[in-house]
Amino acid sequence: MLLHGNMKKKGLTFSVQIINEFLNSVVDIFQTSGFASNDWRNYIMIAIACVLFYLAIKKEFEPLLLLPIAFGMLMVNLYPAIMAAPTDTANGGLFYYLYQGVKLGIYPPLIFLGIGAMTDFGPLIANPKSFLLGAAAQVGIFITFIGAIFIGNLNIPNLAFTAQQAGSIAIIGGADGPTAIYVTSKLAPELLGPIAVAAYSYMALVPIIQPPIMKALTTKKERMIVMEQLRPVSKLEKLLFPIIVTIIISLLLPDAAPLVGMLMLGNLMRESGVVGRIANTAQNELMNIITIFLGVTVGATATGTVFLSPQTIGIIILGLLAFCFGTAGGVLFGKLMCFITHGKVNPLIGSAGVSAVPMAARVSQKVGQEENPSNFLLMHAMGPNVAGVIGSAVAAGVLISILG
Amino acid sequence: MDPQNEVLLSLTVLLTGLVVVFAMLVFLTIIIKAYGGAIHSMMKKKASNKTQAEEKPAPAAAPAPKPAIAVEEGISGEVVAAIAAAVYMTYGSAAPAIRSVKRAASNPRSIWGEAGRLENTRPF
Repeated sequence: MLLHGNMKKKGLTFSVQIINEFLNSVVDIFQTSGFASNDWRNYIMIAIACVLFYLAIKKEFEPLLLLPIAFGMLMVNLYPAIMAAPTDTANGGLFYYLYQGVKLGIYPPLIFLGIGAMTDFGPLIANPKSFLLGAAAQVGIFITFIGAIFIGNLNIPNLAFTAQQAGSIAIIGGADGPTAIYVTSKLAPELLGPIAVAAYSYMALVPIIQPPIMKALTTKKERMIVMEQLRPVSKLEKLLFPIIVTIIISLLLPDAAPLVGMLMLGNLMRESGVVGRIANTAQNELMNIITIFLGVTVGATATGTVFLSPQTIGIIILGLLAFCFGTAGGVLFGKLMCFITHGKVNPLIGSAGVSAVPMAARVSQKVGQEENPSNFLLMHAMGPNVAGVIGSAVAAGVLISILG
Repeated sequence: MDPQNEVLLSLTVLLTGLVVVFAMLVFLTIIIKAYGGAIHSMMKKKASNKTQAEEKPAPAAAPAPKPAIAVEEGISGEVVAAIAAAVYMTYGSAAPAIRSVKRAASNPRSIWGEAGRLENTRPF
């Protein structure tokens, strides 16, 4: 009887022990879960990621980049350890390693390699004056820099930028995602998330941002100007272009060499016609792989604590201003060229100088056709458009050289 | 940063940036225009030399009438015209004359598969 009682007591104690262990395990799991470690900011970021998913999938706003960026944002706010640096006891998170390509400035030049392999510089070679429009549209970068420096004087708490951060925000006006990421990774890596999201969001919104500015700054008569057909460009000219541009820019502004050099390497592969397979890989497989890594890891820098700050609101406002000033600069310079050439240049092609290839050129074409349905400005706008890529890379080199 | 430094830095970046970007792209404009013009005039010269050379030989006797293209039954004139246009687009004026148009023997392999195979094996 006593033995039976002891056994019953032992069994009871054992059961209590099991229940305790079970509860401890559940508590442990809960404590290591996202519910216990995440704060409200992470949940807001998850909601923002979902909005970006909506914009990417439903509205198709730059889906190739917004989708991986949004997913990176989602992942890091659910499981912050995915970006953790390696320690003595842990290997570090997956995104930490992929992020090194951004941090060390490897991905943006590789993306430029693919862009170069995809780009036909023929319209620019046929009309080299387009370079001037590509330069004029970079004015937004430098005006925004001033805005970012002086915004600190508004005395809004936590809304002030260092010179390096101001340079990184200003480059959003270049309307070139890889360039923006490259400059930010060199000057202000802590702002990579908000700057990349702002840059790509505004690039997707080019068809909405640009037309009102283009219409406000031009007359109906100017918008109706039909431009002369571009001359055909020989293969030799196309072949020499990337070599000459690389030599000149690398010698004069070495800080722009990685971006411009890779852009021109891609283009030389395309135009040479002898390395078709490599050119195909650069513009397809390689570009797609880098886009996934770049998008996901840039999104993963947007943690709640970094993203939800007055600085992000400042970046979003300044980024928009940069786009607007860049567009206005291009259109106004287009007007000047129109005046000098006695109406041979349609000022609408100036807005394409902000880069955002080929979206900005398409906008010039669309706005021009609204006034004159028989007008085809697309190829004329492609000149300033690709000049804008080179121009924003040069502007990036200038910013890195002065502020780096 | 004190206000004086802010103004100084802003103006430095604005001026340097605009001057360097414009100078660089103006320089590229000049270079590209120069070499474009040189290549263009060189090609024009070559073309005019070629035309002169072609004009020189005395006119030969009237050429014999060209033989008609042998077209397989069932192939319409439009198809022949499209094939001729495709040949011209591919080979230019150096294209040999089309002597006959006939249906190819049916290939058991998919034409796209064949194209992929060619693309991947051409360099070897």
